[in-house]
This record gives sequence, structure tokens and C-alpha cells, in this order.
Amino acid sequence: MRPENYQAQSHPPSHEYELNFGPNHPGIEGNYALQVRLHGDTVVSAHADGGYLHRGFEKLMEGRLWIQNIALVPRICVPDPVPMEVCYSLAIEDISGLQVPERAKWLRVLQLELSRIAAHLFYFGGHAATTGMYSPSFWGVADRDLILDRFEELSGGRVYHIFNIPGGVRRDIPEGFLGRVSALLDYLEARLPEYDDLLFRNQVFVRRSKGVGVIDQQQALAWGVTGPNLRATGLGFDVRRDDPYLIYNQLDFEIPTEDSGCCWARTLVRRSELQQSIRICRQVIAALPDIGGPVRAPIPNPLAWNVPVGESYTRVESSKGELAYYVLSTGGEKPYRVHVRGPSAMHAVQVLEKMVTGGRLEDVAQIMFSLDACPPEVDR
Amino acid sequence: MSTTHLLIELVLMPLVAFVVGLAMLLMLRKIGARLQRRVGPPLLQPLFDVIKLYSKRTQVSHGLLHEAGIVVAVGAYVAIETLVPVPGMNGIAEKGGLILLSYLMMVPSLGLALGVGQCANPNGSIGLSRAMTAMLAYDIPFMLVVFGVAWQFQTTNLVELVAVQQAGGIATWGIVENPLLAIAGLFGLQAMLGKQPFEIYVAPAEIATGPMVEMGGKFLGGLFVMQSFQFYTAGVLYTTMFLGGGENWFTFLIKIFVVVAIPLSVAFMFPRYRTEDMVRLVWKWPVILALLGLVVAVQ
Repeated sequence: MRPENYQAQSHPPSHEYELNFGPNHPGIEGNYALQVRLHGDTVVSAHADGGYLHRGFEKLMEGRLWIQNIALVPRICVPDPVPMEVCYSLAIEDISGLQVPERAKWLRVLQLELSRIAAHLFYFGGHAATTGMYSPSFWGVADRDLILDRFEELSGGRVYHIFNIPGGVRRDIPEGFLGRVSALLDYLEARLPEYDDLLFRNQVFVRRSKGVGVIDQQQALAWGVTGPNLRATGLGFDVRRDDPYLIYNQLDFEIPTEDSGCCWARTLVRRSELQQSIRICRQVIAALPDIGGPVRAPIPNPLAWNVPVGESYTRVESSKGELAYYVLSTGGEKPYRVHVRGPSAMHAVQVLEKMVTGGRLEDVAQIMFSLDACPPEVDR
Repeated sequence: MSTTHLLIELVLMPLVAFVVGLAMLLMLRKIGARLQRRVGPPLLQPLFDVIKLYSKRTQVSHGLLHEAGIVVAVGAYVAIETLVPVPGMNGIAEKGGLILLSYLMMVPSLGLALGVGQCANPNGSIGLSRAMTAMLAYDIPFMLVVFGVAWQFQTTNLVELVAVQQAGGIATWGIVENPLLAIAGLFGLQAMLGKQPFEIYVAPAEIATGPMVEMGGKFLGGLFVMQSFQFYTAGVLYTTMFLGGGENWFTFLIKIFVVVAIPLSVAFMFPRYRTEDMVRLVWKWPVILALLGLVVAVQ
């Protein structure tokens, strides 16, 4: 608001005051606001204020061809777009009975895990920045960029890859791609101790984040918390293991958990997950040379494709939590209804409001970011 | 010293402080960039920033105190620069001394308080209250250090302080004679510069840069200039008290840049404490060290 447009309003005397966190704020990965009412440094109440990124994704999808929506869905979560493409494709494949080639499944997992690593690197920096430490942000973004290089090589797009389509993936990997990904994983693994020294063993950061924004397991389940935020409360639920899709049941990996349910635990879970994702990628890289065959099942002319009548609820594990698509087809060229169950819809609204209330002003931004919410998932 | 000579020094000293301070701002950004694996800004970027801010067409003033506050803050530093001896120029340092300087160094924060207070922005007010709390926190170890140094060298006169240390060589430098006070002084320096982990009053993610939230154009330019003076003053004061001042400009610049580089480097490796944690820390270790140093000085 410009000063000339400001009109003073009188309020009854109060020791309370309001502060706006957002809609542009380092505490969240996108445009989203949290209106906080404070008494001194203590948060009395909080109101999540979304809608700044509303583009009507779900409604838009009803007006576009099945295949066109592949270009739309990654935009629902910019930092981790691959699960969006894969989950949407899985739903269509489920409805139309498409058999995805084995090689395509492994390639999808490789992308999913690389995307998860990229999202977690982004998260470390963002979380640290909310406590006033900016070096991990630059490190995280720079290292994430190396992953985006590989995505660019694979798909031509750095952020929105639009590589996974119903039936498989658009094309096979380029020559030498696995070697370059392997070198990248070596580099990232070598960098982890440096992240540990800078961030995870940083006593000031530990002091700032330990015991802050605590949520217990029962509350987490009642409020619909999923993903790393749920695993930080001690419950090792992960869609990849508990309701496996693609080839996750053939892979050897662990589900890291923490017990305290605080900001610190949420960060630690993601740090451990990053290692597990590297482990998964290595297994995929080792297996892929022996898995031949096509990378895409034949589909009808995508510009005149009538997906059979049916519905599907498909879920995957994104870096934010359980991501699901409910897709309903009436046999037309376009979906009748697509509903996106983004994990952030729970985390950034009901969970955030409750978690922040009673907390400290200094911790609001940290709690916001620690939930790793993606505002477009709320505004979908 | 002739009046003309004195006048030249009084103009030159703040001018030198401003230029060196800008170079320190560049150093801050370069150190940050290297630690964060970036290239960092070009050589003249701090100067371009000042010019850009002062030439902005939008200059939103919240009233007389808003404007006066910045003038007081920058003005205080201009006065301070004439009170700290540098190689070849003593200005009016003979007339001042550590006690006067300690008082004067509080004035910029108070000027800022005046200016921010009139903006009536809650983020600014919270930042301000945190800045005042921080000042209260670091002033205790700082004053203990000042008393310790004064006792150690039996003088509060900065010119004499430098002369004693330079006459006796490195063995008589404050950092050698009383390392406890020197360490406590470094702690105080970190807090005084408001750098992490003591950066509680800017806190962009919490209070939208606090005192700076309503500052733009020439007001922000004023704060920028103030910060360059602040870096320079902190470096010079520490060098004067503990590193024998400047024998010549070459060694003097090396000393003050090294002194300022320490807190700036540390800043990029830590988050910020909460306010109460900051106060607790600053009132604990630096105060204990300074008290021990004071005991050593008295003996």
C-alpha cells in the first residue's frame, strides 16, 4: 500500500498487535501469507491466508486434453515437480489400463528421487535462512542447480520437465547420462559432511530449532500430516514402502524417522532421506543397463484420446508428503474432474495455524518453512 | 597545530572513514560470497549503492524525526571519526578519549530509534526494541573492556594509548598484555556490529528487516553510510586499544581490515540467536572474560 492510500483506523486499546508474514516471505516457497496476532513476542492467534497463487489448476485441467495437462501439473509444486507428472500419469494409466514398460518405471523412480534430493537441498537452505543463516541457501540452490542440469539434459527443461507422460516417459536417457548422474551423486555425498558442519551440527541452529513447533504423533495423524513431517513424529509411514508404486518394492531403502516432532526433527528426517534417495538412485543406475525395452507404451493419438470411463485415486510420496490425484473420466477427450491432494493443503493451513499459535514471534518463519509447504498445492 | 591544519584533518578523517568503510562493506560482501560459493559484487558496488539510494526519486518521509534521526545517527559517526587517531592525523582525539567515545557510540542507535519511532511500523518498533536490548547487552562487556584497557595503560587518551603501545613494540600491545580483554572485546565487536549470531534486530524473516523496514531512498542511503562508518570505527577502535594503532597507513589498514574480517566471517556461519539467548550469552562469557581481564589489568 502506498502511503497516500493509507487510512488510519482506530481500534480499542489493546496490548495485542498484528503482523503479516507474507504474501512474499522467505518463510514459505511461494506467495502465501500468515496473519499473526501477537501479545509481546507470543503468538495469540494465526490465520493462514492463501489464494495468492490461485490459478485454478483443477478447473483448468477439465478444459484441456489429457496430454495437455502434463504441462500444467508440474506447476502445482515448483520445487518438486516430478511427483506431479508421475502421479497424474499413474492415474490415467490406471483408468485406461496402460501397462508401463519396465524401463520407464525405473526411469521414473530415478527422476522422482533426483527431484526429492533437489527439493530437500532447497529446504535446508530455506529453513536455515528463516533463522538468519544464509550460507546454506546459496549452497543448497547451487547444488540443486547441478541436479537441474541433469534434468535439462534429460528433458530439455530445468524446472518443469514435462517428461513423464501416460504410458511411460517421453524418450530414453542420452548416452553417458547414468555416468554423469553417478558423478553428481558422488559429489552430493561428498558435500553432505560440509552441510553437517555448517548446519546440522551448528549449535546455534540446533538451539534455534530444537523443541520449536512441536507436534505429536496423534495430533499429526488427526490433522492429516504426512511425509517427512509425519515421520518426524516417529511414525515411519511412507507411500513408497507402505503402498508401493512403480518399482519401489524392488528397492532397498530405509524410512528415517525422528521422535521429537519439532523443527529440528523435521530437518533431520529430510537430511537422512536425502541419503536414502542417493542410495535409491545408485540402485537404479546399477540396474538400468540390464533393463532394456521401450520406455513408452503405445497410446492413441494424444490429441484425440478418449480415456475410457473410470476413476482412479493414485498416490505417491513427494518430498512434501503424500501426494494424490483423484481423476474421473467420462470417456471424453478431457478429464471430467481432477482433484489434487497436495500434502501442503493440510500442512500450510490447519497445521500451521495451530502450530504457530502460542509460539514465539522469532519462530514463526521457521515453523512455516519447517513444514515445507508448497502454496500452489493449497491454491490448486 | 594550526587551525587550518586541524580543519583539514576534521574534514579528511570522516572522508577517509567513509571510503575505507565502503571498502569494508565490499569486503563483507566478498567474504560472504566466497563462503557461499558466489562471485560477489564488483569493486565499486558499495559506492554505486550509495549513489543509487540517494538519487532515488521516491523519498517517503514519515516526518521531521524520521529525517532528523538519520542525520543524528550519521552525524554522530562523523563526530566519532574525528576522535579516533589514525596515522598522521589525530584530529581532536587529544580532547576526547575512551569515555567520550563510549558515550558517542551509543548516539547512532539512539538516532536510529528516533527515526524509526516516528515510522510507527510494528516491525520497526520491534526491531528497535531488540536493537536497544542488544545495545544494553553488549555495552556491559564493552564498558568493562574500556575500563580494563584504560587501567592497563593508565590512560583514557587514545593518542597516548597508541603512543605507549608503539613505543614498547608488539610486547606492549593490548592483545599481548591482556589477551582476555582482547577476546572479550572481539565478542563485543560482533554484537556491536549486529552480525550473526547477534543479528536480532534486523531479522528479515521475522520482522522484515526491523528498523530498516520504512527506510528507502536517502534514508536507507543514510543507514548504508552509517554502516560503513560503523565498520570502520569498530576496526579502528579495536586496533587502537589492542593492536598498537597504526604506525603507517599500510599496517593500519591491514590491521583494521583483519579485525573487521573476523566478525564478518563468523557472521556467515551462524544463524541468529533469540533475543534472550543473545543477552544471556553476551552477559556471560564476554563479561566473565572482561572481568578476569580487568583483574589482570588491576594487578
